[in-house]
Amino acid sequence: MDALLSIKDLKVANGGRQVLDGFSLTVGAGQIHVLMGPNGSGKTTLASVLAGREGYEVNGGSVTFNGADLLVLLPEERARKGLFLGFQHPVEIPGLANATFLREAYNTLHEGEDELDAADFLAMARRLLQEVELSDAFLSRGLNQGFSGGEKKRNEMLQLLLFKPRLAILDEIDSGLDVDGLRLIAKLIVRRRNEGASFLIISHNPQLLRYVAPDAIHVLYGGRLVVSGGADIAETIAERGYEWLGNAHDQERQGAVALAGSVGNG
Amino acid sequence: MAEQAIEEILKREYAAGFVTDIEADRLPPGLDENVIREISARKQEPGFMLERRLESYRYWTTLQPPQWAHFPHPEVDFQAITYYSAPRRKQGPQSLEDVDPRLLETYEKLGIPLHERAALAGVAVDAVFDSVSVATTFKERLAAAGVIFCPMSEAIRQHGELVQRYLGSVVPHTDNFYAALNSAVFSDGSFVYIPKGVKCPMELSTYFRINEAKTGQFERTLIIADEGASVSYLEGCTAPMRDENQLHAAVVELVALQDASIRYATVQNWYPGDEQGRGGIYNFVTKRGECRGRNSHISWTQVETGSAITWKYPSCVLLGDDSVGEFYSIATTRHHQRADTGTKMIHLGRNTRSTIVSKGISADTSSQVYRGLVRMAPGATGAKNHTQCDSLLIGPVAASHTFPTIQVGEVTAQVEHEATTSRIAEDQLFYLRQRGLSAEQAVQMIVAGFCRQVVQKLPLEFAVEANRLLAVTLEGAVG
Amino acid sequence: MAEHRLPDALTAELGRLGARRAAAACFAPVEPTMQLVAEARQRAGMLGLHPALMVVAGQPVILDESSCTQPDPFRHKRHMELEVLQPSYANSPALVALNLDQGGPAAALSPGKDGQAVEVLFWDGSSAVPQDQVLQVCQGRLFIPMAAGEHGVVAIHSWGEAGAWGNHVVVCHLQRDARLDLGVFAHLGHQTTLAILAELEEGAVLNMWSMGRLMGLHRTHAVILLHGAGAQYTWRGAVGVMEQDDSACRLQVRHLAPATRSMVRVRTLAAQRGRLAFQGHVAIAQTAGGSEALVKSDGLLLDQGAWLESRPEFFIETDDVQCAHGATVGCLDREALFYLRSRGLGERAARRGLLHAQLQDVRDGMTQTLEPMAQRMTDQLVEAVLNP
Repeated sequence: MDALLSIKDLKVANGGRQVLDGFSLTVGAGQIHVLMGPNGSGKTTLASVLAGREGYEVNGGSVTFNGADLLVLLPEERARKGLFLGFQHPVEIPGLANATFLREAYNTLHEGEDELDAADFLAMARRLLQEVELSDAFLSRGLNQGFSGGEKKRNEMLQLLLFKPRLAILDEIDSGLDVDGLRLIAKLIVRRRNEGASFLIISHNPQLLRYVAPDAIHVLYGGRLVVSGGADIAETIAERGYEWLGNAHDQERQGAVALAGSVGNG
Repeated sequence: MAEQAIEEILKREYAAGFVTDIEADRLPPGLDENVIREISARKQEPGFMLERRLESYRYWTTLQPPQWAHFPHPEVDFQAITYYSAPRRKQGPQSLEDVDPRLLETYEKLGIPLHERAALAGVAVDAVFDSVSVATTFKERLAAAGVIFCPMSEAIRQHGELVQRYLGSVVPHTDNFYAALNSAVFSDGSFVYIPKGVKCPMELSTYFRINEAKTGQFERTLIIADEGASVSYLEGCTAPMRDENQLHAAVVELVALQDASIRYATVQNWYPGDEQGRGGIYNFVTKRGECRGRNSHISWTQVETGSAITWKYPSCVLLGDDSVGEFYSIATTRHHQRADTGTKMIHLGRNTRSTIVSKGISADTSSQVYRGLVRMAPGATGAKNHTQCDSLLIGPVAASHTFPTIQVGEVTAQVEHEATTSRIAEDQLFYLRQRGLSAEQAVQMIVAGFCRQVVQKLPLEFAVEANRLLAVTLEGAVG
Repeated sequence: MAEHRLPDALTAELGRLGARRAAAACFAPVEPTMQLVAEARQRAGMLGLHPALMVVAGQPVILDESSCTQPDPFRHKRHMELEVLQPSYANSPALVALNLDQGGPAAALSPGKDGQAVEVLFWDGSSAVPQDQVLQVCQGRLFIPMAAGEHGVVAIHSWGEAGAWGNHVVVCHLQRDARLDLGVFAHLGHQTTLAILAELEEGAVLNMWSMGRLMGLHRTHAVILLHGAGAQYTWRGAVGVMEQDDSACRLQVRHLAPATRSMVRVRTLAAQRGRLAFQGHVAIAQTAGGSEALVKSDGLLLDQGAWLESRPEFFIETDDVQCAHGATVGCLDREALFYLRSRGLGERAARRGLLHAQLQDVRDGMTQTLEPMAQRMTDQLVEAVLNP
């Protein structure tokens, strides 16, 4: 299977600190990869660099997305190529109606196709709102304005369903959600995967991982992948935390990196 | 990258900057009693009007131009201004068919078709060109409802009693320097009277155009809503691009009697001057409404995008018990524009309520002031005000100043004021771009969102037009 | 006792305000007699103070030499020349200028490092001050220089008699990373104008609390310059007026360096025929990117006939800022009053309870050593406005 996203030996500094120090990962089409790691290990940095947020210094390595160099593109160009970032903390934009925003973004992302007229768009948006279990009222409210944590996450999922990206990076999509919300989101992820979409999910939540049955779980530690493997890793981390990785990091550094490199193509 | 997008947006040009080539009948520059007699004579005014003008002029000569505004501006040479300029035309009554086609074309180009068949449905327009009204549409239809909508000069001749009773009753000629000047030399403007119990069947609109060089425009508008009447009125303005500054010193008076309601909206797009700050209109305006009767309602909405300097405070005097005053404002400035604007809400009656929502966007080297006064006089029992006043800054040297004053002398009154100043947050821009929107689109959407609360207050009939205009002005001024 | 003419500007200002004694175009400094010093000591005792310094009728009387000195002109030259002393910065320069021209000698404090508050008592005039047409003016000057990294706590108390007018200037200079907690307590009984001028260098922190009744034609006039990057200023006030008071509190905060922060929170009370104007003016210069400022004023009007004015002003010249201001004016919440009374509290007790609740947050973050006095001042203020 061809790799959709291929990260090779990526090095990223932020504010003088080397956050990622030789990070490699390959995600194939239709795969779900999970990235775990202690706070400050660089998970959000990775997501931000992939989406093109300013303020990070890439000082080594490469990222290709669908065969093209990702790092030279503007954030909107990456989005238009099918890369979606589900934000850990979606911003609030007061006054910008959710519906206006969704429609404008939809038409931009589906440029070249016939623009949906307002009525068709509304019908589609309403259907998707039901799927993410939000009421119609959310269309006329300001973008994320005054939404609860869970509502913001559902609104991110709504966009995922609407824009149909090839690769979605979901940064702590489960935070702020109750059990039902979690199950719903997992269901939607699996459905999109079955339609051929790929996922890179940043999460600590073993519950979510059980629901989505990822192809691989990776642990980021000290700026690199130290362990990659199956569901057992998540269980071990749930039991023992991340500390034991300190040793793994030192002793099995070479091996782990080799393992990480191989999983995506497996 | 955000900076680039803003740059792009800022480069847009002023679309209404053309000049109409038409012979003008104008007075030589300068101001003295003879000029005032001449203006009055040309307008064939009754004697009372000339006397009022002369009284105002004599009072004006005792005044000094005010200096307290928060912007430096070169002294205006009042002897260098032409106080009367009208497009030359045939004598006698004018119907739309008689209007010079070049004038019709001018308004057409500005998006204000005056032929009734082409005109915006449901909107009657009075078109004021330099010092005179050149056309008023739908007069007959309005007259059938008893509504008077005509040029001020016509009202002075034909509805002298109403004019005598109400003109200057809200903004007397002694109010301030520019009000005194206006009272002496005003040339035209719109007059509206809505009789008792009548809901005006159409939106009314006046479109002001300054065309001649070195000419000041001193328009005077008076709107009276009699008991139980209601009206919605929109004012638009543009001027050609010229290197010198031109003065626009208008006075607008609104009177709402018992149970009456007046909505007054302004889309102000006077020429703002160029990137270097050359040229542009000085917009020194006094606008005030008086809720004179019980349960009356006056609402000001303004979208201020033009002028080199804007200096105005559309205000409400809430005299009648249970009356309501509102002020919704968007002001955008760029280049070297200066805007010192805001409102005053004077609560005198019982249970009077007022709302102020002001959104300021200053870009480039422009600067903006929100200046407001909320006064709860003793006796205004149960009066309430809520003020929200937000500023958005675009560019490291853009400036924004907020000078609100709250005075409360009534123990049962309540005042709440909130204000914020910030710039467009990087994470907002990034979020929208992550969804595929260009930086330019993103900036516009954020600014539009910032303004939405006020745009929604524009009259429905103008919603499309206003949105288009706002989009243009956002392009023109981002915002 | 020599008489001086009041500067025209001041006469004009007082006249404009309708000062009852403004007819007096002359003022006379009060001489610090032994009797006055004795009276000051007695007042300090009544307040439970152990002042390191008393400024009696404008003259410093040093009681604790370890924390207070007559300023050495050479060492304190810098403080005397601080930018804030330039009258051009002052909204009412006439008062500051008068003090600088005619004021008594200055005293300088070295605030203690053990967290104990250094106490200062300004004692203006005495019951013996004659109430004639000559305005008896006491003008003190106090420097609080804080060396780099120093922390200190200062409590300034002012008290006097109705016949005297205090016109004092306090200058604070905080060097790099210094921190000063400053309580300003206005005790009942006289009128003052108090100018507080402060300059903060890099990383310095000034926390101020102002409390009490602003009596007569009181003027507080504070100018705070945030000169160094990361400097921080907070001001919390609980101030009130009553009877015929016609007072004003003006605060000017100038952000001149990057990442400076200021927070102003004031609670104003006006009872009877008292009038009080609060002006919080925050300016953020182009050089002050990344700064944050908040001004919040909440006023309570307690009686018909009282008057409150609030002007939270912002003057912003750069886009990299986060600023917010809010202001409310209202009366005591009727619902809340009713609730308390339905639980059996008398009206007075209910009003007292609500007033205390209103003033509660003014003592937030307050240094422990200032707390008891702050509590006492709030109690006094509440009782004063409740008692006609």
